[in-house]
Amino acid sequence: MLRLSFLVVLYVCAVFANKRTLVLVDNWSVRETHSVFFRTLRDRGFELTFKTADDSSLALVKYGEFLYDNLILFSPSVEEFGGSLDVAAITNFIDGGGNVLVAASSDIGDPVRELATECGVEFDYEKTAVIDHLNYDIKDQGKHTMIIADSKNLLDAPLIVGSKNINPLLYRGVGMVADPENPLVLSVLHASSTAYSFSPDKAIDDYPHAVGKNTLLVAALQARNNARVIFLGSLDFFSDEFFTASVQSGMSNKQFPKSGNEDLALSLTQWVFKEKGVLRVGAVKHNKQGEKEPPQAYTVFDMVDYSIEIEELKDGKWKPFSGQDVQLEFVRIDPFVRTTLKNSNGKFHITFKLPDVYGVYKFQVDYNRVGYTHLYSTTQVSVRPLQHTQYERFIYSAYPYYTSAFSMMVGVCVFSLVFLHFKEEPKEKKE
Amino acid sequence: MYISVTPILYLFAVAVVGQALTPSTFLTTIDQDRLKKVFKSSTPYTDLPTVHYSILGLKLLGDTSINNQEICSTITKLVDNKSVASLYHASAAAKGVGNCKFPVGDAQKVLSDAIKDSVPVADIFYAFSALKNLGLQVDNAKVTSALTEALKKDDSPQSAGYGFFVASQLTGDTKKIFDSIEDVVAQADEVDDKYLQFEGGLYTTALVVDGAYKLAAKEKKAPTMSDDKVVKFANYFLSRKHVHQLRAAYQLVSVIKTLTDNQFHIPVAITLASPVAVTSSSPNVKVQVTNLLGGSIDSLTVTADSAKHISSEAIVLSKKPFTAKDSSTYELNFMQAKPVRGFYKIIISAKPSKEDKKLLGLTGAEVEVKVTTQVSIENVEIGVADKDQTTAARTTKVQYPGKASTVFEADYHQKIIVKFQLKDKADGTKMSAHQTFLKLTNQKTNQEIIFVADAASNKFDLDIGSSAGQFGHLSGKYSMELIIGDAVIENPFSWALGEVSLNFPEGQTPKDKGLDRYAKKPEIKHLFREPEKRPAAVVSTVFTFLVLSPVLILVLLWMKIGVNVSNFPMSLSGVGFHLCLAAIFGLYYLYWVELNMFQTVRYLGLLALPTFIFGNRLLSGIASKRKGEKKV
Repeated sequence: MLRLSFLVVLYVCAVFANKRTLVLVDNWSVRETHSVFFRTLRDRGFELTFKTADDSSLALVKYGEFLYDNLILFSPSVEEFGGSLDVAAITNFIDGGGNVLVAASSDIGDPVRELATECGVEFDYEKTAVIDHLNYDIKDQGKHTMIIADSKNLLDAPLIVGSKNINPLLYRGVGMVADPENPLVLSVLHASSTAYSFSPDKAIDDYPHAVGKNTLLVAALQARNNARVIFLGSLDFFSDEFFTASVQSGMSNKQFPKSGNEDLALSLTQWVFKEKGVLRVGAVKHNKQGEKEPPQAYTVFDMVDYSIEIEELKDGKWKPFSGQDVQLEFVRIDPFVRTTLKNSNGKFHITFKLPDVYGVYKFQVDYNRVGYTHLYSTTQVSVRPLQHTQYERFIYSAYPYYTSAFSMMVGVCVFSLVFLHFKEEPKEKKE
Repeated sequence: MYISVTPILYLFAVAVVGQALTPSTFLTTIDQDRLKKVFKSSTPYTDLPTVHYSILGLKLLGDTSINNQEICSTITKLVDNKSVASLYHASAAAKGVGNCKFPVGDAQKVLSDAIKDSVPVADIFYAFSALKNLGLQVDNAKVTSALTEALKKDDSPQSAGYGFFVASQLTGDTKKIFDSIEDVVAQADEVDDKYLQFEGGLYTTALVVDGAYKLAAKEKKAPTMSDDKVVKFANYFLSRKHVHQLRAAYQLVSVIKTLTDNQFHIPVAITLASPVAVTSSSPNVKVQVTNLLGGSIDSLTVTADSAKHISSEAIVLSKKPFTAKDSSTYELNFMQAKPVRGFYKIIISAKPSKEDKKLLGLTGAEVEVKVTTQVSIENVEIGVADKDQTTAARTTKVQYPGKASTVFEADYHQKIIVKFQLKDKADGTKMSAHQTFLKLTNQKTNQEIIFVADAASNKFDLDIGSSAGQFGHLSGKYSMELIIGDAVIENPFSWALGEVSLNFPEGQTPKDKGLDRYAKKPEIKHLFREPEKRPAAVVSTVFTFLVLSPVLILVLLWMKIGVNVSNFPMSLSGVGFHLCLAAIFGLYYLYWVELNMFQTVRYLGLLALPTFIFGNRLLSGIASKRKGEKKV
C-alpha cells in the first residue's frame, strides 16, 4: 500500500513537472471573475493551488525544495504577505528558476511594487491609472481609464505575444516604466503616445511617472537563469469580463466583436510558464574532418567538423529546433572564429579551419534570442602547434642548406670508404 | 410586539445602509445571450451534469433552439440507472426537456434505498429530487428524518441550501428547516459593504438563496432575511454575471429568476441607460428601473433626489422627477439645471403608485454621470527666445487645426515657448485640462519626448539646453504635437503644431549602447598570418650548385689522381660497417622528414651497436694488416 502510494506520488510528480502553480489572490472572488483564465491553465495541465495572499501558511520552500514551479500573483493590493512569504522569498524563488506572473491594479500595494523594482520594472503609485483620452473604450466609467491598447504596440516577439494580428486589447490599471539600466526587461506592450499614467482625480502638478510610449502595460523579464517573470498592470485584463468583452473606441466608433485579451493572455502564459521558447542541447560532437572520434588535441590549421543537436519544446514534446541563426564561436579569451551553423533537422553543423594560433580553446554556442531560453554550450579543446615534421619540408629557397647537408653526408660515406680502403700503387715496381 | 418592531427595523435599515445599495445593473439581454452561449458551448454533450445544467439554464433563459428529441436520446444513452447522481441529472434534464422517457430500471428501489440516516444532505437531495422528477413514490417521513439527521451533522451553507430544496417539496412539517434560514444567512460574509456571499462562492450562495425562497413559497411566509441582505445578495449575483462555469451559471440564472418572481422580495435595479457623458447635444440622463432580469415594474414615479458635483460638492438639483419614456425607461434633462462640467452623483428613488412591500432598493440608488463640454483652443503662439531673455521672443500665431508654415529653429541656448488658452465652448470661460502635453517626435528615429505644460498658465517653457539629455543630443527636425485631453472634454485632440529644427553641440552624442544582446552577432573569419616573402629561385639555384661544388671537385680530383678502393676487405664487417654508416645518415634524413625524436633515438640505438662492432673489427683488421705489412 505504501509502495503503491509512493508510485502514485512519483507519477503525480512526473505529470506535473513544471506545472505546480501557486495562485495568490486578494479574495476568493478572483477565482470566479477570472474563471476562464484559470480553466485554460487547468486544461493545459497546470496544478493550481489557490491561497489568499495573507494566508498564514504560505510558503514557497519546504525542506530546501521549492514547493511550486510557478507563481501567479493576482493579489495587487496585498500590504504584507502571509506565512514565510515576502519579497525576498519571491526573488529567491526567481533566482531558483521559478516563473512568476504578476498582475497589478490601481490598488497596488508596496510588496508588489517592491518585487517589480527588484526585477527592473517600476510601477506607478497607488491610486494612479493609465489614462488615454483618445483611446478609451465605450464601456469606460467616465475617467478614461479603460483604455484600448493597439496590438500594433506589441513587442515583435511571436514567442511571447503570439500573433500580433489580434483584436485590440482592453486594459484598466496601473502603468509601469522599465529600468533603462536593466537590459533583460522587455517591453511587451506599451501604450499609445497619447496615454499617460497619473491619478485621474488630481491635477497634473508633477511630471507623470510614465508618459506616451514609455508607459508599459505589459513587461517581461527572462533572468539569466532562464526564470521568467511577466508584469501586467491590470488584473482585469485576465477577467472573464474583458476576455469576452467587445471593443469599441469611445472616440472613433471602431468596433471589434471580441477583445484580443484572451489570445494575448494565452500566449503570455505559455511563454512565462515555459511551454514555449524552451531550448535544450543534445549531443555535441567534434572531430577532425574525415575522422570519427575527437582527437586528444587538435593541431593548428586542422579542418574540424563540429555538430550540436538543439531541441525545442513544442506542445509538451521535444522537437528538432528549426532556427537558422545559431552561431558557433571558437574562443580563446576572445572569439577567433564566429560562424553560422547549418541546420539539418535540428542538427547544427559546420566544418572550419582552426586558426594558426595554438592554445586552449572552447567551442562555444551562445544562443540568446528574444523569447527563447538562453542556450549556452561550451566544449574545451586544446590546439597545439605543428610538429616539426608537419612544416613544409622542401622550400626551394632553402635548397643550398639541404644540398650542403646531404652532400656532407654523402661526402662522409664516400670519403670514409676511400680513406679506409685506399690501396697505394706498389712503389717497388717503380724502383 | 414583533409586528410593531419590524417596520422600525425596516426604516432603520433604509436610513443607514439603504444608501447606494440598489443594484446598478441587471441581467441585460447581452448578458443573457452570453450566458446562453456559455450553456451552448458544451455541445455535443458527453456527460449528464452538463446536459442537466445547460438544458435547464437555456430553458430558464427562454431559449427555444433546443432539439428535444436529440437531447432525450442523449440522456437515454448516458444514463446509468444504478447511480443516484446519474439518475438525478438525467431526470432533471428529462423534466426540463419535457415529454422525455428514458429507461429507469429499478430506480424506485435504488433511489429509495439511498435515502437513509447517515448520508450527506447532497445525496438525499439527489435521490429525493430524482424520485420527484420521475414521479415515483416518496416516503415523506423517512426523508424528513434522514434530512433532519443529516442537517444536524453538517451545517455548511451548501448542505443547508440542498436542505431547503428538499424541504420545499416535502409534504409535512418543515417549519424547523424554514426557521433555520435566518441562521444560515447569518453565516454569509460581507464584502465591501456591498456584497453578501457564502464561502463556497457563487454556486453555494445562489443555491442557498434560491432554496430559501423556494421553501418560503411553500411555507407561504417571507424568509427571515433583512431587505438589505437580499439586496446585497442580489448585488453579489449581478457582480458574477460573467460566470463561465455551467453549474454556477445555471444556479445564477435560477436564483435571479427567483428574485424576480417570488412573492416576498423583488430587488429593483436602477441602471444608467444613457452614456456616462452628458452633453448639450445629448442632455438627457436615462435610467432603467427594472427587476433583475430587466422586466419592467408597473407605474412608478422616479425622482432624482439630488445631484451633487463630486469634487466641489455643490448640489445642482433636488427633487426633480424623471419622465417616463416607456414602461421601464425614465429620463431627465440634466442640462436644464445648467451644471458645470465635471462628475455628478445623482441619487434616485422610485415610488410605486401603490405601496408594494415586495419591492426592495427603491431609494438611494446612485448613478454617476459626467457633464462634458467642447473645448476650443485659442491664442496659440509659438516662439523661440533666448535663454537670458535679452530679446523679446518673436512669436507666430497658429490657428487650430492649422499648422505653422515655417520651420522653427532653435539651438541649445534658446528655448521654445508655446502659449495657448483653453476655453469652454459652452460658456466661453477659460478652463484647464488634465492632459496638456507637448510631444516632440524626432522625424528620423521616431523617438518621442513629451513635456507637460504648466497647468495654471497653459504655457510651455522648453529650455532646450537643459533638456538636451532627453533628446539624446540628437540634432535634427522634430515635429511638435499638442495633446489636450480630459475626462470632461468631449473633443480631446492631438494637434500637429508644426516643425522645429533643434541644434545641439556636436560631440555630445552619447555613445552607443552596444550591440543588441539578442541579435545575431557579426561573423568573424580568422585572419591567417601571411607567409613571408621568399627570395628569388635563381639565387638558391646558384647557391645550391656552389654548395655542391666541393663534392664535385673532390670527385674530379680523385678521378685525376686515380683513386681506388681495392683494399676493401670482402668481409661482413667491411660491408656491414659502411652499410650501417649509410643507414645512420638515411635515418637522419627520415628524422627530418617524418620521424620524431624518440623513434629516431630508438632506431639509432639499433643501428649503433652493429656499427660499433663492425667498425671496431674493420678498423682493428686494418690496423693489424698494416702492422703485418710493416713487419714484412
